[in-house]
Amino acid sequence: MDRRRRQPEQSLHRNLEPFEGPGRLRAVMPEPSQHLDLLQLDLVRAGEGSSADVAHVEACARCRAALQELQQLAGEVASLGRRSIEVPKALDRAVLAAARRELARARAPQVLRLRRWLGAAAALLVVSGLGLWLAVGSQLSRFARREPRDLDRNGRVDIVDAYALALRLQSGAALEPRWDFDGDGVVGDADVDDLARESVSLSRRRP
Amino acid sequence: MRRLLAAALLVFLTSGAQRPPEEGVRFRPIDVFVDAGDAPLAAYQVEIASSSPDARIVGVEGGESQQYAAAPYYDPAALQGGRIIIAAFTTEAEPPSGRTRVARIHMQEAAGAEPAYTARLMAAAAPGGGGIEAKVEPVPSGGQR
Repeated sequence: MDRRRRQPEQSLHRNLEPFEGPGRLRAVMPEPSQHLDLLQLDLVRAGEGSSADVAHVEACARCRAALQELQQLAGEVASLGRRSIEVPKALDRAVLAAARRELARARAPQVLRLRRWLGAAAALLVVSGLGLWLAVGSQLSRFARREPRDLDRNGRVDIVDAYALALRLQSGAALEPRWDFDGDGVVGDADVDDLARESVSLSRRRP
Repeated sequence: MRRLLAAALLVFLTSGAQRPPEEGVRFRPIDVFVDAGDAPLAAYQVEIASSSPDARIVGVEGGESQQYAAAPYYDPAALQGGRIIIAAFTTEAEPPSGRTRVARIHMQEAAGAEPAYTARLMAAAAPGGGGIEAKVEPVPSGGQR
């Protein structure tokens, strides 16, 4: 602050450089070595001027006018920071709508891609399941047709098939000629044994 | 005289190399149990296998219950090997239920060896042929030299 405070004798009659400020202030700029410079005027405006400077301003109409300009300018500058900028509501709504459109456009491909993937996966699953079901079903029925020994039609020949044939023989149920496994022309206990031996064979081709 | 001694020595040494392979083996029965729980066991099919290549099947006989007292079905090719499939069924009205010894497998093992045996249930049925759940257990008993 000491740097800015000058002795009245020095500042009043020995002014600094010519003022290079805005045009409005330039018109009220005091004449060199007769009036207060801008720094002194600003100190007076802020209430920090020396008593000699204050007395000069009171006596000098030109410096008083310059001080008033300076006060007005300072007031305008201070009011700029407090003033809020009013945005028209129509413009506000238009910007918001445009932003929403952009956001929706950015999201749309991802959702669409996900739906496509889900659809493709579901279709693949259905086709695979159907194919598997058909394959297994056809294999079982083919095996049953080709392999008359699979009496219980479970896809393999084991002791339970021999047991099933033995039960049929025991119960007197109808017998099919294709169960004549030993080829002796009769479906009987020998065929049950044949079937049982087949089920425990270590060399047989497993279904 | 020297020639005679050399010939006797040669005969002695070669006779040691021709010892029968059965020496150093033992025979041990493996009891096969099937546990069908409360379900009556009308039919079963089991695979038994040894973990040791030296263990050989030398005989198969039936089990303890009257329905399975006869020797089960098996492939004669399994004899002298370490794997066998045995199977049997009964058409009698009341098959056994619970834990039942259905067969006994006679094994030849290397003396001093303790081969492990595994059993796999291939099929089990209740009267009428419906499939049932069952557990199989091979139980080696004390061996005899």
